[in-house]
Amino acid sequence: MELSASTISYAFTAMAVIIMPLTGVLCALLPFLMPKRECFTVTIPDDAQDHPTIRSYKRAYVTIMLTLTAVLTAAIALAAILSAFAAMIILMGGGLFALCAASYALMFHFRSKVRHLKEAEGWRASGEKAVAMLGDEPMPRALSLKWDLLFLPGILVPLIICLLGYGSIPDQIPGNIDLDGQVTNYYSKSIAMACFPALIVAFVDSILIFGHWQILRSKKGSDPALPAATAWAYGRFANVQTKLLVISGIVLGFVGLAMAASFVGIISLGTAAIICLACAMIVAIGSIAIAAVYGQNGSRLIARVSAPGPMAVDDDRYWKAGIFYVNRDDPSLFLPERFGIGWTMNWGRPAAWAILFGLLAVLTAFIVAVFFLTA
Amino acid sequence: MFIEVDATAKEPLYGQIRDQIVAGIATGELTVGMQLPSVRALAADLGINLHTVNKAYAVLRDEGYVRMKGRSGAFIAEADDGDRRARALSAAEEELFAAALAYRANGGTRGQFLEAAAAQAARAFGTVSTAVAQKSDKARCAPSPSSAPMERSAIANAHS
Repeated sequence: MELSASTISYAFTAMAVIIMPLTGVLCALLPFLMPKRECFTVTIPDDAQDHPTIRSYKRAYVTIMLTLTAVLTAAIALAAILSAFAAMIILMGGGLFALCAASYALMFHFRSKVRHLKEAEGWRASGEKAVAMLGDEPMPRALSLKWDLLFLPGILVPLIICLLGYGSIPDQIPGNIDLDGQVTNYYSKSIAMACFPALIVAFVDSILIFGHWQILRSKKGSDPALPAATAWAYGRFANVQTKLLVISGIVLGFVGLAMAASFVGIISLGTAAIICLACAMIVAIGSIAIAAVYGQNGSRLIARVSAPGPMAVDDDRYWKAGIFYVNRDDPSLFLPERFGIGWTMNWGRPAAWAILFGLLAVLTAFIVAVFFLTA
Repeated sequence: MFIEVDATAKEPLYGQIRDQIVAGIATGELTVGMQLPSVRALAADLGINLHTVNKAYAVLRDEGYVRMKGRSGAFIAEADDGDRRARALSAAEEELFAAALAYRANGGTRGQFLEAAAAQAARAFGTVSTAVAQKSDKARCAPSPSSAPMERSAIANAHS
C-alpha cells in the first residue's frame, strides 16, 4: 500500500502538534501530581499545601510552564502551516528538551524557596518513621514479570516474516524516509539485516522488562501517616504502570511487524513509518494520561485525604539536589522518584552505579552493532 | 497489617519489628502459615539495614513465633510445644513484674497499676476502647478497614 508524501507529513505534523502541548501540560502539572507531603522535592506537612506562599509558588510554576508550552506549540503549528518540516523537527526535539529543562530549572528555584519557608515555619518531623505491609492484605500490586512473555510474538513474527520472505527482500532495502516520502537511505540485504526488525524489538523489550523488574523490586511509596491509603494508591500506581509497560511492549511488536512487512514488500516504507508513528503516539499519550490521572505513587487517587499534624518522616537529607537519592544505609536499590512520574535508583548503593554503567555499555554496544549492520 | 518503625524511638528497630509481629499474631492479623516478607523486601520497604531485619526474624525464630523454611523465607509458626510456651509465658510474667516495679518506683499505687494492666489486657485481648485505640501507636500502625474510616473513605471515593 503506497502512501502519498502529504499523508506522511500530516501524520508527523499531527504527532508534533499533539505531543508538544500534552507534554507541556504534564510538566506544568507536576507539582500537583506529587504526593501531598512533598513540594518541589521538599518534605512538608500535608496541610502546608494550603499555605498561601506554597500555593503562590505552584501558581507561578504552572504559569511559566504553560506559557512556554503555548509558545512552542504555536511555533510548531506555524512551521506546519508553512510546510517547514525541517524547522518542525528541530522545534519538536528542541522544544521537548526545553520543556524538561525549564521544569527542572523552576523546580530548583522553588525548592530553595520552599526550604527557606520550611525553616521559617518550623516544619519538623515528629520522628523518623517508616511503614511496611505484612501478611495477605488484598492490596493491588504490580503485574508479574510473566506478563512480559506477551512480548515474544512481537519478536518472533517479524523474524519469521523476514526469514520466510527473504527471497522477496530487495538487494537494497529502503531504510530511511523523509517527510516528502522520499527514501533517503538504503541498507544492503543480508541475513543479519533481515533480523534487524526483530533485534530492534528485542532490544527495546529488554529495556521494558528491566523497567518492569525495577518496579517489582522498588521500595513502596508508602506514607507512615496514612499507611493503608498510600499503600493502596501505590499498588494501583505500580499496577497500572506495569500494565502500561506490557501494553507498550505489545504495541512495539507492531512496529517490528511493520518494519518486517516493509522489508518483504507487503507495505511501503511510508506506510510502515505511519504505523510506527501511530504506535509511538499510543504509548506516549497513554503514558501522559496515566501520569495525569494517577499522579506519582497514585497520589491523585487519594488527593482528598491528608494527615494533619507534623510530618512522620523527613528524609530530605538523602535527596541531593532534590532528585538524587543517596542513602548507603537503605538496602533498597529502586524507589519512587521525587519530582516526576516514575522511579529512580539509590545512588548510595554501588549496584546502582553498576547498573547505570552496564546500561550505558549495552546501549553503546547496540548502537555500534546497528551502525555496522546498516553501514 | 502494617508495621511502623521509628528510628528516633528509644526501643531498637529490631525490637519494634519483633513486638509488632508478636502483636499481629496475638490479634489474629498474622495467622499460622502466613509468609512474612523476605529480609531484603522488608528492609527495603522500611529503609533500614538488612541485619536489623535479620535480627528481628532471628529473635522471633528463637522465641518460636516464626519458622524459617530455607529459601522460601519466614512463616508464622504454629503455637509451639508446651515447654517453650511455658517459658515464653514465664518471660512475659517477668516483664510484667519489671513493669510493676517501674510503676511503683514512679509513685504509682497497686490499684492504679492493676487498672492500667486491665486496660492493656483489654487492648491485647480484643476489647479495645475507642479512647485507648486512638492513643495507641500500634493501632495506627496496623489500620484495618474498621479502624481507618478516613482512609477507607478515600479509597471508596477513588473507586466511585
